[in-house]
Amino acid sequence: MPYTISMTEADLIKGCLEQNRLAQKTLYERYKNAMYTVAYRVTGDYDLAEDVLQDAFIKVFRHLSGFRQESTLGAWIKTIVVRTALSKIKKEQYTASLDQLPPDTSISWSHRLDAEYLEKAILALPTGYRTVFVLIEVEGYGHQEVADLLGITVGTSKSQLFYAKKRLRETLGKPE
Amino acid sequence: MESMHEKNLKDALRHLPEHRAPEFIWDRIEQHLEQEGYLHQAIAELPTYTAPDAIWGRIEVQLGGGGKIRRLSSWGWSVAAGVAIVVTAALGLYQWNQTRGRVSYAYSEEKVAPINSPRDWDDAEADVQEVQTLFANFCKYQAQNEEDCALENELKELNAAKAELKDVMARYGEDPDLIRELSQLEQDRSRVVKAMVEKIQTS
Repeated sequence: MPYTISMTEADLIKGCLEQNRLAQKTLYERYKNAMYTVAYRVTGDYDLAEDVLQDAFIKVFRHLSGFRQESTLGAWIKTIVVRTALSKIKKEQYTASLDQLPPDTSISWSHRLDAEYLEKAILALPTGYRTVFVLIEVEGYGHQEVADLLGITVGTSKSQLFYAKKRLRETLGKPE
Repeated sequence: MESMHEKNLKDALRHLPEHRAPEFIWDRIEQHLEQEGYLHQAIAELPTYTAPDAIWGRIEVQLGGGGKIRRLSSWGWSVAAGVAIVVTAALGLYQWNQTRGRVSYAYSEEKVAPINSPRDWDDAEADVQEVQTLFANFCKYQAQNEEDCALENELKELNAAKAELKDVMARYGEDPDLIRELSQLEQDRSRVVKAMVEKIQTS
């Protein structure tokens, strides 16, 4: 069977489970850039992101039989990429807790933000802040999921996100 | 009684007053959407990075370079083993043929003297003729019935066949089949002559 980029996810999974190299390559091609981007944003380093992508897809192909289709394949792969990326970066101390948060945690973004500057600001965040911000605001995970992934409490996840946004706001400044 | 209480409760719940949402709540929502909206809009526009092509090569190496791994079933292994044995044997025979000494085939032709050659037969012909004359006298003077003289006619037929066969051999050569046929004729003539002699002796 010829594997093309337009093939259904089920066909690709079947081909990968049969150890068909073309199916594996097609699956990789379909997700590689999205997953490389996630890996880069979490690690903040191109070389580490390459290692993450490589290791993560090896895990994907070796453990694909364990994919229960409780989520989309993309979400399943992304979780593997995130876990692999987190294992590569330096363990950050998540000391800030919800108790330390001010009563008003809203951050005002009163002007249009430039995506390029935002990207630079995100990458300049401390690892702990960046990880939580990327996972929640960019990748769409919930606080409970992030808490589970990072081994922290939900309160810590919330506080990390608040301080990450505060730092970004300071970095990006006010509108000209 | 209980059902009446339940009905009254449901009626009371149905007539509970509806409270109006304060207007400022929407203002807060709108403010939040505006504040976060800029952030989320920028997040949606964040760049996507292209994975270097070399990564797939590294993945492929770790997966094993052979592509699809096919596992042979038990009969597949049997077939494979059989093929391997046949190929090995064929190669062994070929190698043996290449390395062993050259075989030379020696032969010679021997001319075998024909058994019962016509000349020998001709030498015995005088004896046969003598017996034939004696048997003719036996038939003429001593035979009791015609059956005793049947051998005379049989010998005459065999003699005629021999003469005809010798004529063919003179024209077409001494073919092995003709020689075998002549040999058989001589054996029959010998048998008849012997029987003639026995008849003469016992008379």
